[in-house]
Amino acid sequence: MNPDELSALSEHLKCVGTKAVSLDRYLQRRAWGIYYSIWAFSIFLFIFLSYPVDFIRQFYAQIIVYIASYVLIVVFASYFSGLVFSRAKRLASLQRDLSDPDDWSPKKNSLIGIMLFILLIAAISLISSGLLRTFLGILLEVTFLAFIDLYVYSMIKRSLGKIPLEGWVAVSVFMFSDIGSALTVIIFRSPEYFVYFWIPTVVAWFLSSIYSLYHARDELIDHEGLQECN
Amino acid sequence: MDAGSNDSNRLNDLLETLGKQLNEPVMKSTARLIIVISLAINRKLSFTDLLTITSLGKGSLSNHLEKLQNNGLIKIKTVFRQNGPRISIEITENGMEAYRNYSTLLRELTSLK
Repeated sequence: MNPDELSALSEHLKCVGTKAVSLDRYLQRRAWGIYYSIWAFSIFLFIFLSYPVDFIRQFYAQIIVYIASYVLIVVFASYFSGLVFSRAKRLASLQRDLSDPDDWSPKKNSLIGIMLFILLIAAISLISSGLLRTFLGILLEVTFLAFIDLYVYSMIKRSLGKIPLEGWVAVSVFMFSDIGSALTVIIFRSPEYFVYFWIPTVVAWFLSSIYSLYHARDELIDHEGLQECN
Repeated sequence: MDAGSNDSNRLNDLLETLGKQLNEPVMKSTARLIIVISLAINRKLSFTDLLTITSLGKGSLSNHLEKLQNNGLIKIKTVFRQNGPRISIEITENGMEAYRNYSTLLRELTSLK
């Protein structure tokens, strides 16, 4: 192949890749819309499920229903989150191939993965050791949830390029709930008001979901057909 | 044989393989490549989603999908839902291989610059 042919091929492949990335943002934004609604509903259940479960008279039956419901919610929501995050990662990988080779930094990605893994283990250990009622426990829990929030932020950015309005709302309100709920425990020395700070997140994520699903098609507006790559 | 000639041979091989997989020359392939890339990212999409993102007509999209299925890159399934049948398109391992070929070709061409 001569240099001109190589250059034309390179431009064509880049054009197709860029087109595929911009078209896929419609699907990604829709997936994020479903993600917000699933977590809004899951957090709602986390807060309010205890009220109907408390009506169960038998102690062991109550415990079993509690554990089974919470495990089911976490497994379902985590499974869907995994699907959304892996889509975002695959899209980011294609975007990286399309960018300048000097910008590639695979070490950064693996470092984030390792940090997330360590924090996850720390959170699980904390929950199982009952440390959550101590100041240190609360501090670690806030840090862990803040880390999840930043991870969600980075995933939205990787998949959509520019963070849309509902993304900003979802991430900001989550951070507000995280810090606010922890402060109530520290100030009032009781976890009683902890859950109320998460109600704004439920409302904001539900609204973000509707906004995201409604505006997903906006991502296709600049689409001028596939012919321009030929 | 020098390194430049090796690179050129490798690129030619990749280009030829990808062209065979897509059943058309890579330089003329936009719709099929976009379908393969979208499916590689999402693993599975509905016919309606592919219609929306490619803006192709139903007949044209069906034709591209048929060619890709004949080459073993995708699997087309009809799923029965409450609101009627829905066509679902899934990428196969061969399809992922075609995507990896595209990705390698793109990376190598970018690093040549």
